[in-house]
Amino acid sequence: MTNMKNIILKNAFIVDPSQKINALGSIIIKDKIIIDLILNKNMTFDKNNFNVIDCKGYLLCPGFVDIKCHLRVPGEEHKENLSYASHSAASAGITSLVCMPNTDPIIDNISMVELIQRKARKESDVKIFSTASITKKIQGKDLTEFGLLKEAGAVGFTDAIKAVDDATVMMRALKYASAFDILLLQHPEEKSLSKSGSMNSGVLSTKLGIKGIPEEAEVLQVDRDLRLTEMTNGKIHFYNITTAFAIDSIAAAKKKGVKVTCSTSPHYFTLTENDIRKWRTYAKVSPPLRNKKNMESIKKAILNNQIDCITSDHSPHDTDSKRLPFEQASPGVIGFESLLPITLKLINDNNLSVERLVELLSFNPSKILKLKSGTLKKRRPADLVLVDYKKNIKLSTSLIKSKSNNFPYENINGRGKIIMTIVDGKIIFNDRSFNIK
Amino acid sequence: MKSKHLLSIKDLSIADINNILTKAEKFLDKKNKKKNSFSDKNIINLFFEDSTRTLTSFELAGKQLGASVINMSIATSSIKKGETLIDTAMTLNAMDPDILIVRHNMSGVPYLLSEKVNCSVINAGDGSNEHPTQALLDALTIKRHKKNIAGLEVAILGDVLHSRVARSNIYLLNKLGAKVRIISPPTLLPPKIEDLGVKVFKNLEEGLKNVDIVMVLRMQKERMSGTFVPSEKEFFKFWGLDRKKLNNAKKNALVMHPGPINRGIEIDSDVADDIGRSLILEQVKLGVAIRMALIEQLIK
Repeated sequence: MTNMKNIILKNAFIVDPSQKINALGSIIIKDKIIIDLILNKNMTFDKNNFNVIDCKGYLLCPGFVDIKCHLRVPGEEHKENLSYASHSAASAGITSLVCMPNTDPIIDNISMVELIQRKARKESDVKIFSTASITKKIQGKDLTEFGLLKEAGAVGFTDAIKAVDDATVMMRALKYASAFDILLLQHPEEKSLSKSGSMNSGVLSTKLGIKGIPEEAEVLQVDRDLRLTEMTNGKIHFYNITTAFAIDSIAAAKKKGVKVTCSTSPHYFTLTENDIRKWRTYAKVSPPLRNKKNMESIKKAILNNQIDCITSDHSPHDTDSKRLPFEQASPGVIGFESLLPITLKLINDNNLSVERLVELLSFNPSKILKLKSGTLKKRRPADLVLVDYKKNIKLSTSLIKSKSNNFPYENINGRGKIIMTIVDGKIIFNDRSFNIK
Repeated sequence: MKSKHLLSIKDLSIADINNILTKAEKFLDKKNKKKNSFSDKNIINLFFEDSTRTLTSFELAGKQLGASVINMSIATSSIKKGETLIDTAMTLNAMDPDILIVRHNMSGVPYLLSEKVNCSVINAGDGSNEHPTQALLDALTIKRHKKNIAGLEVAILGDVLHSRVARSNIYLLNKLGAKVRIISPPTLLPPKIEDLGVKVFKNLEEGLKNVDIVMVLRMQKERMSGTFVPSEKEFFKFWGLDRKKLNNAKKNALVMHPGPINRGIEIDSDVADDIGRSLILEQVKLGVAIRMALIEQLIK
């Protein structure tokens, strides 16, 4: 869809936590940028110079920023590519993606970061930012060139679904990162406790004859890294928090002033280990799905601000990677299309404001990685999303636009439908509610 | 039986179990043995993991019923043979067998295959999950010696963590009303095993008190990564079954073992070879009858 004209989105329910806005109003977009935001006024606009879109009844907010997804490029293009990922994300209201470096080859040098950027410019409508690995080849030994990689455009550093397990390496990484104001993002699993397991440890793993990963594997990693972060005065983010233990540790560290943030993903507050049923590999994720008690703790932590943001943890896999004995199957689920409906339903079910939703999906993740989006402030990029936020939907594989379809949410209820997604002033998704010239 | 497969003891009702046991007893009678009624039936033993007794037992059972039996042993010690797994099963399925008997070192594989093929699938042992025919033959062995299984005190001793035999036996013995206890070094206990309805003992002498049956398990080194018990010597000293320790059990307590036996590690030869106490060879013998009963049941 091309936009010859500039856009006015009028009569929208505008929510922008960055300016504490929660009101009816209009937004004017010109040359990729938000040029004005007008509240509480019924205005008439010149239809000849503008595409005027009446957004009555819809939520208008900054586009969602997903700081953890696997785009499988390069190396596993049979599972996903940037063009599929972009379509899928756009239809889910996500305007910025932050991809993981555990590709083949690994994103641990400048040319790989540049490759992602070059391909993203060509193939993707949504913004794609690359992370780089903390250690070369994700081997947990030697640090990558943090400074040069940041200059090249890496927005954060992570060893993806492996934690840096050597404490000295992690300590140095945290220290060195502080010279460049770089954020390290850590997978929360202590390796020696988790390496041989493939589901949560408990009576269910005993019944299925599968080696388990104890909940404690998470808090052990988190506790060690919190100590190291405090010691080095560094900063850290934990992805995919799944246990009450880790929530408590992170909350206590925040109270002490440690620079820590954390996130979780929809499957950790929607599914439990019981969803594995009989060795169902679509419910195999890393870290593993936990019991109901932990799932409830994660929900609570999202609602009371202990968890800072929600990522999709989009992890596409082809059928051959999943149609295997449980212990051999690859971990991960498709995540873009379910990100909004599951999160909004949680917010609605607990009578929280839509503002919290926008914080979790846009404002906070953007702030954590210091991206320019996540706000509707004037002169910022026009990355925004229009949502029918009162609509109930049923999640199903038929919604999936990703190249893979390892989707675990068949027939789960969700809330919210994306009406329009705009990136840099360009409409990249329109559910056909509007006829745009 | 409700299902056309036998994947788990959990899928069997008490009536199903009793039915199989009764049928098997019938096959113990020599004159019922050679039956050619299944000469038009094909059975494939698809074994992805080494086996002597189970494979032979299934083969014999099929042949004694007159069926054609094909053994396929596929080594999968080299990992990531996943695609071949489903492909192999689909290929065999295309040849239209009546029963596929599957053993695999990964839990859940027979279940996975049962969803892909048209024929009946029998689980001949999957990872650390289940070994239902072993539990059935164990039940028959106990029944022949103790008449009633209900009310018996049964101790399962040894490496329960890695044992599929233990899990199937726990389900089956609980169904039939026995009281099951587990005696094991703490490192070889599965998490939350008490939730399956068993009592747990870390001390062998204490655990054996008042026990009618002791089921001894082998240390499954092939499934272990790292050290669970410091040495075999130490294991034998504290958890290996010898005459003296067995004296803590009831006077007429009997000893079982699914095999293969590691003498001097989990069991002393003196006990293993005591024909008054040890049912180990009888278990093997009854295994063929159980498998005949099961094959007959599933083919019909």
